[in-house]
Formats: sequence, structure tokens, C-alpha cells
Amino acid sequence: MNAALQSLITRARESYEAWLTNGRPKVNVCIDTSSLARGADETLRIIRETVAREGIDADIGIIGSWGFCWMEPTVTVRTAGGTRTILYGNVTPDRAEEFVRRVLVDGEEVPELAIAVVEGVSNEGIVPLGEHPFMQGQVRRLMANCGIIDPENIDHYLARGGYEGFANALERTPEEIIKEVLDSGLGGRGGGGFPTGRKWDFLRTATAEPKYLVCNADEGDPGAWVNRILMESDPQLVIEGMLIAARATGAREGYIYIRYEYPLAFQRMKVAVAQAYERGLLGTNICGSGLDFDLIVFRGAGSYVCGEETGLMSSIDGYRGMPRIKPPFPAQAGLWNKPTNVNNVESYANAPLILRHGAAWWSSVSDAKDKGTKMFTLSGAIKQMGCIEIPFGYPVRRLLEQYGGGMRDGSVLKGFQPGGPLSGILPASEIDLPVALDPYRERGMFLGSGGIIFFDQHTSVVDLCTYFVGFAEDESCGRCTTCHGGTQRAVEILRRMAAGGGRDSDLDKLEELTRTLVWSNCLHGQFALTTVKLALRYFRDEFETVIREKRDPAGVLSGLIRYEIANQADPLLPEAADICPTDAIVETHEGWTIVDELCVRCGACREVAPGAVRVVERFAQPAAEPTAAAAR
Amino acid sequence: MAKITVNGRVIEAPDGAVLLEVLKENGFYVSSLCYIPGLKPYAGCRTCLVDVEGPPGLQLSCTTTVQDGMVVRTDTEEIRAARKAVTSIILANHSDRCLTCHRREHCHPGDICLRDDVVTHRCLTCSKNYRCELQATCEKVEMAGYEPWVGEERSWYATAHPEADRANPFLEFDPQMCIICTRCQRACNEIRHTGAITLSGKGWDTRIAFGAGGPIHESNCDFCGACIDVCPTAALMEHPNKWVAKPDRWTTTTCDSCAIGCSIRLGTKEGRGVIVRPGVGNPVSGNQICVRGRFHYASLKPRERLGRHLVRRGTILAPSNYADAVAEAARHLRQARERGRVAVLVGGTATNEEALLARIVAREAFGTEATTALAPVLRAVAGALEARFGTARMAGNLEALAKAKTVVVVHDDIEESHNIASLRVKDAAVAGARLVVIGALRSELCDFAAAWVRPAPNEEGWAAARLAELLLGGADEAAFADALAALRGADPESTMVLVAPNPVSPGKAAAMAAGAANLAIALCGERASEHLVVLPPEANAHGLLDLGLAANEPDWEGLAGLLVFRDDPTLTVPAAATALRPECAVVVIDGLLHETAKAASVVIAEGRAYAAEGTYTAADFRVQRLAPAVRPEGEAVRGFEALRALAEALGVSVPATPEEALLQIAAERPDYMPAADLIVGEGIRLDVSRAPKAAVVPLAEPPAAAAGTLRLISSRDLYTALDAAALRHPEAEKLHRYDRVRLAPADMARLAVREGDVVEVTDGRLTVTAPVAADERVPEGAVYLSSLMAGGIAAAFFAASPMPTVRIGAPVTA
Repeated sequence: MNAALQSLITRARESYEAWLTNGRPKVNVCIDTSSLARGADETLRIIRETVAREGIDADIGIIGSWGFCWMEPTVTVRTAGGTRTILYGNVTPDRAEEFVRRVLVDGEEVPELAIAVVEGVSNEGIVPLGEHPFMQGQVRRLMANCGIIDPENIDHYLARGGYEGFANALERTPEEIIKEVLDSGLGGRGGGGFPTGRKWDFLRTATAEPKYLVCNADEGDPGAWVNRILMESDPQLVIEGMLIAARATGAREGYIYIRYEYPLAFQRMKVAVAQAYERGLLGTNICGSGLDFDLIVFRGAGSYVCGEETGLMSSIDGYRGMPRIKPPFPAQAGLWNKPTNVNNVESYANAPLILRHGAAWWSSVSDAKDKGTKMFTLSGAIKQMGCIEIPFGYPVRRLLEQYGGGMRDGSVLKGFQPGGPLSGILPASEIDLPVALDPYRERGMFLGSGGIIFFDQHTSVVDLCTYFVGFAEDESCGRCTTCHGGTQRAVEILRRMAAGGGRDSDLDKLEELTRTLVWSNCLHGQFALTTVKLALRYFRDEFETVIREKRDPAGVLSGLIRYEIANQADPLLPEAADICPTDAIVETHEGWTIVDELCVRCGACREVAPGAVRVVERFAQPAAEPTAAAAR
Repeated sequence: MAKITVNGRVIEAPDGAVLLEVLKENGFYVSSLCYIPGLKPYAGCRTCLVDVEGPPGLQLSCTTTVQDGMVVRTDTEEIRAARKAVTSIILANHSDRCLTCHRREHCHPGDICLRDDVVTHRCLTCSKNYRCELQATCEKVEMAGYEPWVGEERSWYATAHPEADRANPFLEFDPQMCIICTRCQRACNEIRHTGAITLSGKGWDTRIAFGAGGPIHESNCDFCGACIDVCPTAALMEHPNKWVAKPDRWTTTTCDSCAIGCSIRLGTKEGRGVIVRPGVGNPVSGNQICVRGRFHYASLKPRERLGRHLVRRGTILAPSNYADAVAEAARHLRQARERGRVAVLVGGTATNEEALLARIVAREAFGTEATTALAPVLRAVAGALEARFGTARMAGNLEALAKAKTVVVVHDDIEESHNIASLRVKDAAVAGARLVVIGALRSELCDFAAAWVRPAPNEEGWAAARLAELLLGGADEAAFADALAALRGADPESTMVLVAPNPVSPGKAAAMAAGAANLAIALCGERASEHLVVLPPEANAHGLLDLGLAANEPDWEGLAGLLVFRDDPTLTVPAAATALRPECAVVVIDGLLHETAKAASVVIAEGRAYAAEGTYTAADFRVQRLAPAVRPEGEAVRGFEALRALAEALGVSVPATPEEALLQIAAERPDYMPAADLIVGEGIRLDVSRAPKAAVVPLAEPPAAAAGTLRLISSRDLYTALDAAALRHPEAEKLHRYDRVRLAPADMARLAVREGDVVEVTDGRLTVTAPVAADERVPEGAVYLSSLMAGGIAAAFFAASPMPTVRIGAPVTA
């Protein structure tokens, strides 16, 4: 192994070991965007203050995400002797002080908050992590460090096998590296699935100089946060992957393009890149190998289409974030019109694993057609929103039932959406489809970058289409008539439909639009109406109900429903009236009533007073309403 | 060449050519609403769909390049349907009543709309109706009457569109009509290198914006109108005449606003100009013109031009008929000749043919040489060039400019004085040429330059000469370090030196020409004259030079008579006013009642240059033809005709037609012979031979300026119209940028004057009073006055001192 790198790793191991064996208990709080949303920073502050006040001798640190996003903030507690590490969840700020007293002062376990035992054996019968239902069947390779290391400390990464893949890459020729990646069968993790090795070879064989690498971390699909988990929990893995790609392709400069909405990932990557520079892992003559590679962390400005690789490059180039016309392709003319390779975060993150353990090991995880493991984030009307890493081939049902914990109480699966707003929706009947690329392609959609959203009977398909097409409309770059104008037409029709103005001709118009939008320049326009296309295929009857009967089976389309008082005696009614943003709930001499002209169906009253307000069909024959007097 | 099959027909096209252009050239109809020939495809409208055999689906013809053996169809049912569907989406975001209303051919402007449309959506309220590319395209693709979105609550109608910007005198922008094809943005950026137009917002809210999104006149727009030419809808329109600009006749002629000789197409309705578009075929201007070329045809209202001949009756100028006016003019001039000296003065926008007639009249009737008010500057420049080259005619070719690898510009600001030359310099710089700019004003070219040498005000010529010295001597000097780095090792063959001598100060003009000449010689050696172009003031200055009109300066003292052709000499030569005494019989042939005309005994009304038939000789000795485009106002006659009639009345024999006059010029100067066969628009370069010598001559020291005061800078500005300035018209500069005293912001702070304060600028004897404007172009310690401001007051300052300095008084009004 490269001597400089060897000594870096050795020193890092020594310091990591020394820290692990310093005889102090360790409390690590997961600080990532999910946990911050539930007050993890406050939890961490309270733990730190308590420890300081009580004079407890303990190391308080931070970790990345374990994937148990629905139980954030998560905290690991390692005993002083290092014999046992327990993962706790829901350590919210209000529980933090008591929690830290119990685990550090009293030396107890806290079974009611415990998720699983990471290391050692529990005294309280807490399950080992591997036996936790959420973890069974997961293969954590990319996520091997997630939740375990301090993402802001490069030594942790180096000590746990980090940069060994890069060390191997340094001993091979670019051709050999690319062959290894090709042999592994790694496909682009952004959703395209194009062989990463071939992409790298395009750049390697490009003649113009300089060449650039770009890491696409503009993870804009609602419901997808796998890249964020990696960048916030193990940023060095991405850097190592890009270094291997640099070695393989001859690129000397790289960019990590992080979406504006990921401030923590941006900051973590900045810290990681700075530490890598400090250790000589970036810059000129890296570890004496003669390899030069500069890495710049670039923050996007909040445009969804900048996740399209050419839009992303326009953005870095300083232009308006608009996807370009292809050809030329990025490998011919990308950043500053020079050869460029763009890969997803997860694609780069796989490279260190392949180079460290070999292609055979990497692809042997399952015998599915798509090789390697894939991270997924699950959300929607399910019990457990979290991040998993599994081999391809598991049926979606398993993702829902085992990892997602099933639908929420009272919810029945109606359908699911893999692949973000440009992909499509599938009905519950397709729940046994495997997670793999082909089945989705066959259905005119794509599996996407890892987000899967499950929706229930309370979701109106018309509403869902309106939302996703509206999203595509808002995020269109403005180039193609078909995209910026076509999505607008579709939204107009869908909104009219939702408002009760549906016409028989609407479905034909929507279908004509789905046909017309394929003439758009980039994937954004071409796939902007996929949701509508698949909805018309799988949920056509629902559209027809909305159009012909002016009735919404999901009971949410504002134009088709009406709110009315269900129970005049409900004590929460005044509160519901208070929260109503339009003051539609008024008390008259005949009792409480909802003024329909004012009501915007926001649902706030139903949240405050679920028993007091009910939804009725707006165009149904008015039922004989109990008069206020009778109710009294 | 590649062979491709289109709709079964085999055609030949260059390999790699843009399919759309090939199809259009070969007569196949393809709708395209965003493509601009010559620029990279934008591929935004998505209507240019064709079927190329091989790849699945339809292809855009603007992004497809020709390959041998390609099989293309442009007329299948699938294409028609897809094109219609795409076009319908464009129309859904556009006021489409001009296509969909069944009464669109029956309504008149006053009619009440039977469809009860909002008034602004009506076809008749669109000023582009019946000359709209979108409308024509829709009809061509069978969209007329097609209403796929009828009954939709179109967001477009529900959206509050930004107000149309009608706040400037030239360009109107109505975002409501915009289909976001971005042609304007790309024309502004990629053709004009101005970048005043951007695409803002995203999604449904994507919009075209000027500058940061404010009014056009607050952006860096130069009002060249390139965006209007490419706009397929009524989003961008010329402000003047926009409602009537449906010409009954288009005439290609030559712009009279500067010496570049750009071709323009002047659209006229009943003989009056209503619109200008760039001409075609001109190798220098291409399809571009500037704000003057596009809008100065309308600098004055028709009634502000002279439509009647005038003869003095006592103290008043009374209308007269043509025959009487000519007879009276001849009588006055003959009597004057008997009394003493008669001078003949020809303006810078006179054609060669008109100038020839004036010269003949001067010689035959008055025994004198015709001259011009430009003579002092032209003679000074010619003198400087003759000393170095043995000739005043430089052989440099403006066509070579855009492809030059090294360009040096010695100027006040050619962006303002010779705009299209500046554009070609920018073309060269954008294509990678090393540009060195020498000028005290911070011109737009500075942003494109590898080096900007900023001399003390009015010392451009000396700076150029110093740079030449350093290049020849191999020495270095800190102030010239960048320029030397950019110029050393330049390939003489691909080097161009441009000089625009100052129009106000003969001394400064001579120094600029001399410095530029020395620099050209330092860069290009004995072939220097082939790489130097002099951009003279006014359109036909070089024609007047060739005809010998610049050989003598007029002597204004003691004149008995003065014949002035299309000029107000008081605007350029302050001394001219001394000739306007009652003792001097003044005859003016012009279309304007300017200061000189007001003092005249006889004014023969004539049409301006746009009414003239004849030729101009542009800066690089390119002869451009003028075709009579407009009809002279009222009873006015063409200038040539007026001169001919006057000659006849004076008993002088002159050529009867402009053609004959040109042949006579060619007999005298054989290089003009090919011009006789000249096609309007294209122009033909005279065969200017290489100068007999090329010798550097050092310059005398620059004149000293008084210390502690502001140096005066004056040059031709971009916006002031020459004819309106001659009338001292308050709207001569419609933007009101150059009828102001322009100062560096730092000087304004130092002098405690604010924007708009009215101040006195004085050199102790002369005074001009005007509002102040901040100008970042102006160096500190200087004050800028446009050469045409306040009746050409700047020339008077320069006549009084070769390096004038002025003081700024305290604000006259708060």
C-alpha cells in the first residue's frame, strides 16, 4: 500500500482505538436533518450541559443517521468499558436530562427508549440490532459507518477501512479500475442505471483537457433522502469514491453539487473536504502518488432541474440552471465545455467498496439482475419512515410491511410512487413488484433514486396528479414550450376537475398532453406527466367518478366536498372556530354552522375537533340535515 | 456535401449543416419560432419537428445535423398532429384572438367586439396584427380557427402580467405577448454582446426581463432593436409608428447616420418612413444596425421638416413656389458673386453626386472650390496621414475586423460614434482577438479589451504614439504594460487598427490619426495602411474627401454669398455664424429650417438623404448606394434636383441625373467606375492601393491645459439625431442622456452637485447651462459634453483653446 496513505491510516487507527479505549462512557447523538427536525440539537445541548453540571466523566459526540428516521433523535450509549453499546430512539429534548442521568449517573439501561443493542448483551432483554425487524434482511455496506462514526472526524473513517479502496486504486491502472467497476455491474444510482464503468471510460478516453468530475447531490425528489443520509453520516465515502473516479478518468477537478435545501449536508461535506485536504488526500500529488485532484463543494440555488446533469453543469458554470441540448454529451462538452462525468452520490459511494473488496464480493450480495445494494427511503402513510439498504430484488410489499412497519392505523394501501414526481404511481395491486430497474421501465416509469412513497385511501389520485404536475410546472426551466406550457395546461385541467368542473373531454386532453410532452428536451419535460399517464392507466375509474359523478372517493378534493358540523355539542367546536383561517365556522342563534362560501377545506378544524366536523359530498343529494334545534 | 432525401426528393447539403436551415433553403416548410440562423439552437419552441428515419419518434430539425444518406419527412400526419399540439400549447399562453376569431377580417378599430373579449386581447389591439410571425406560422400549420383550449380557464388570462414597458421613445416590451422563445435574449447576448436581456423566473413564471427586471431604459440596453427583428410576436415593438408600420413599399438604402454605411430597409407608407429594418447583403453591417439607423428616420415629425420653399421678404421668410425660389436663389448668388466672394458648403450627409454638382457650381459660377464644415477635421486627419503614408486614403477593410486576431481602437467612444464598428470589434474580441482600447472614456469596449490604455482626457493620440514608440523601441512602461503584452508578437496580417478622430477638435483629431498611424506602422510595418481604418465623422466624409471638398477650409470673413447644401455649419463650426450677416446672401438647400436657414435669403426645400439617389463613400472607402426611399415633404424636391435646377439658373452645365454624375466622378477617379453597377445594399470597396510609404513621425507635445479645472471632452453621442440637433430641437436626444453635462460621480460629490442640478459650464467666456448627469464613462477631472449638444457649443470651447478646461458653477436651480 502507498506508504503515506498507510501511515495516515495507521495513525488514524491508533487515535480511534485510543478514543474507544479511554475508559469513558460515550454518548453519541445523531445529528442529521431528520433528527434536527425533532430537536436533536437541543437534546445534544441538554446532554452536554447535564454532563458538565454533574461533572460526569463521559465523551459526548455526534453521529450520523442509523436510518431509524421515525424515532429521531436517536442516541447511542457505549459503556465505559466498551462492552455494550445501545441504540436509543425518541430521545427528545424533554427526555434528554432524565435519560442522560439514568444512563450515565445510574448506569442503567433505558428499555422504554431502547431500539436495539449494537454491541454486547443487554441486561434488560433489549434485542440485538441484527434481530430488529427493521434491520433484518438489510445489507449495510454503504451505510456501514452510518450511525457509528463521527461524520466530522476523518480519523473515524480512516480507522474503519476508509481509503483502502483508494489505496488499491492507486496500485492499479485506470483501465484496471474501470474494468473492476464494469465487472461489478454498478449502474448509475440516480435512476438511469447506466453502467458507471462505461461512463468513466467515456471520460477517460475523451481527448480534451482538463476533465471534470461532478457529484450530483441535488437530490430533489420529494420523499428521497438517501444521498443526504450518506453525506450527513459518512461524507468521506463520497470523497473517496470521487478520488477513485479521478484516478480512473484523469480528471483533476471535481465538484460536489449539493442542493440548497441541504445546509447540513453542505456543511458536513465542506468539513470533510477540508479534512481530506489537511491530510493530503486532496490537492496536488496526493499521498505522493502523483495524482492531483481538487474538490469543490458547490451549493445549488434551489432549482429542481439542476438535478438533471446538464442543468447542474449550467448552474456550476454560472448560467441559469437550464438543462442543455444533447448532444454534445457531458463526456464531450460538460463543465466549461470540457469533458465531464456526472454521477450520483450513491454511485460514487459504491466505488470504494468495489475497489476495497473486489467486484466479485460486491456483486455477490444477491443474484438479482441489478447488482449491489441500494438505499431506499420510505415515507407516506406508513408507520416507520426510514432509510434502508437492501439488495435489489425484494418485493415492495416487504419494504412496506417489514421496513415501513405497514400502513398507519386506519390506512389502507391505495398505491405507491417510486422514483419521485417525474416517475409514476402504481396501484396497490402492484405491491409485489420487486425493487429492480426493469419492471418499472416496462411500465413507462422508473425506480428512481431511492424514494418510495406509499399512499392510502385518503389520497385522491386527481389531487396527487395536480400536486406532482404542479411541482413539475413550477420547476420547469422555461425552455420547452411543451414543458412549461404543457404542464400548465395539465394543471389547469386537473384543478378544474378538482373544483368540480370535470368534463368528459378532459381525459382525452390529458392523454394528448402526455403524448405531446415527450417532445421536450430533457427528462423533466418528457416525464412531467408520467404520473398522469399511469394514473389514467391504473386509476381511470377514479377520474371518471370525479368527472361524471362530481364525487371524490378520497373525500379531499376541495371542489367536491363540503364540511359540515357533525356534532353541535362537541366541546372542541369553539376551538375549531378559532383556528379556522377564514372564520367560516360561526355560531348563529340556530347553533354552529359552516359558511360554505368561506370554507377552504384546509382541514384545520378537523384536526382540532375531529368529532365536530365531517366531510360530505358537495354534489350529493342533500341529506335531511338535522336542524340545529333538533340537535339541541 | 451530403445527399439527403426529403419527402422523396434528393437534395445536397453540407455535411453537419443544421437540418432546419437546409430544409428552409430548399423550400420545405418547417415551422420554427425560436431558431436564429447562425446561432446555436435553443430548441425551446419544439415546433420544428420532422421525421428522420432511424431514431424512434420525431426529431427537432434545429438540433439535427445533416448526415449523408439521411431520409427526412416533413409532412406526415404524425408531424402535423404533433406540431399542432405543440403550437396549441404556445397559443394557450398567448392572446390568440387574431387567429381564432371568426370576425377577425371584418372588424375595424372602432368596432365593439362581438366576442366580448377583454379589449387588450382583441386582434385589432395587437399592433403586430398581420405582420406577426406567430400568426403566420399558425396559419401555415393550419391552426387558424383551431381552439383546443377553448373553455379552459387558461392560467394566462388569470395571471397578472407585468405592465407593458412603454417608458422609452424607441422600444416597447409587452410581456403579455411573449412566448418565451428567448430569441431576443440570444440576439442581445450572442449577436450584440450587450446582454441587456435575461430570462428570469422559472416554470410558468419564466419571463423575459431587461437588466434586473426594471424598465428597459434602466438596463444597459442600447436600443439597437436587434431583439425587435427576431421577436416572433408583438412582445417587442418599435415605439414610433407601431400602429401604422405596415409599409406599402420597402426600399433598401444606406443609413446616413455615420460613416459605416450600414444597409437599411426603409418601409414607407405613402412616401413617409414608418419602419426601418436592417438591410441584407452588407458585408460590414450584416443584419445589424444601431439605434440611429433604426429610429432616426423618425427623429422629427413630418411637419417639423420643410415642405415649402422660402424666399426672404424683408424680415420674414415667405413661402414661394419652386421656380421662383430657384430663380431668386440664382439672382442672389449672382449678385453676391459680383459683390465679392461666394462660398459653397456641403454637408456630411450629401451624396457624392450632390457634392459633385455643388463642386461644379462652385467652380463654374463662383470661381471657387466647394468645401464643407467638416473640412477642418478632415484636413487635420488627412494631414497627419499624408505625413506618414503619403496619402490620406487608408486601405484597411472593415470586413476584416470581425475576424481579426488583434485589434487596436483609438477613439473617444466608437460604441457611440460608429456603433456597428464597435459591434464588429466585440465580435472579434468574443472570438478571441486581443483588443487594446485607447481612450479616456470608459467605453463598452473596455469590457472586451485585453488592455485599456486610459490617457489624460483628449490625449488619446499621444498615448497611441507613445505605445507605438514603446513597441518599436522594445521598451516598457507601467501604464502600457497590458497593452504591450497584448500587442507584442501580434501577427500583422490579422491586425486591425481603428481610429475615430474627434469630430469637434481638429487638433485632437490630427493627433489621434497620427498616433494611430504610428501604432499601425509599429504593428504592421510598411503594409500598415492596409490595416488602418479611419472612422470619420458623418456619413459621407470620405466621399467629400475624395471629391476634394476637404481640401480647403471655408473663410467665413467677408463673404458676399454663401450656398449651403444640407447642412447647418453653425452646429460644427462656430465661426460660420460670422457669415450670417445681412450683407451676405445666404442660399440654403435643406429640409430643415435651422439657424443658417433662418438667416438665408432663399431656402430651397429638399428631402433628406433618405430621399436621395446616389452613393456614399463609407469609412473604409466602400461605396454604398442610396435608393430614394422617402418622398420629400410637401413641395420639397430631391437635393440633386435642387442643385441641378440652381446650376441651370446660374447658367452652369451639370450632369442631369445621379447616374451621369457618378460616371463623371468615375471619369475623374477611375476606382469609382465599378460603383456605377452597384447593387443597393451590398456596397463595393474602392480599390485603394497600399500607401506609397509608411514612416513613423513623432508627435509634437500635447497642448497644455490649465491646471486645477476640468478638462472638456466632447464627441458624437449615440442618441442625438443630427437633423433634430440642427433645429435645436428639445427632443433631439429623446432619452435626455446627452443633453446634459456629464460628470464622473466622484467629481459630482466633490463639486457638491446632484443628478439633475442645472449648472453653468464655463471657460470664462463661453457658458452653457444644462442639468448634470452622473456618468461612469467620464474620467475624474473631466466634463463631457456631446458634440451636438446646445447647438454644438462644445466646438466653440475647442475653437477657443486646443485643450479647453472649464469650471462648473454652483447649481443655478435647486
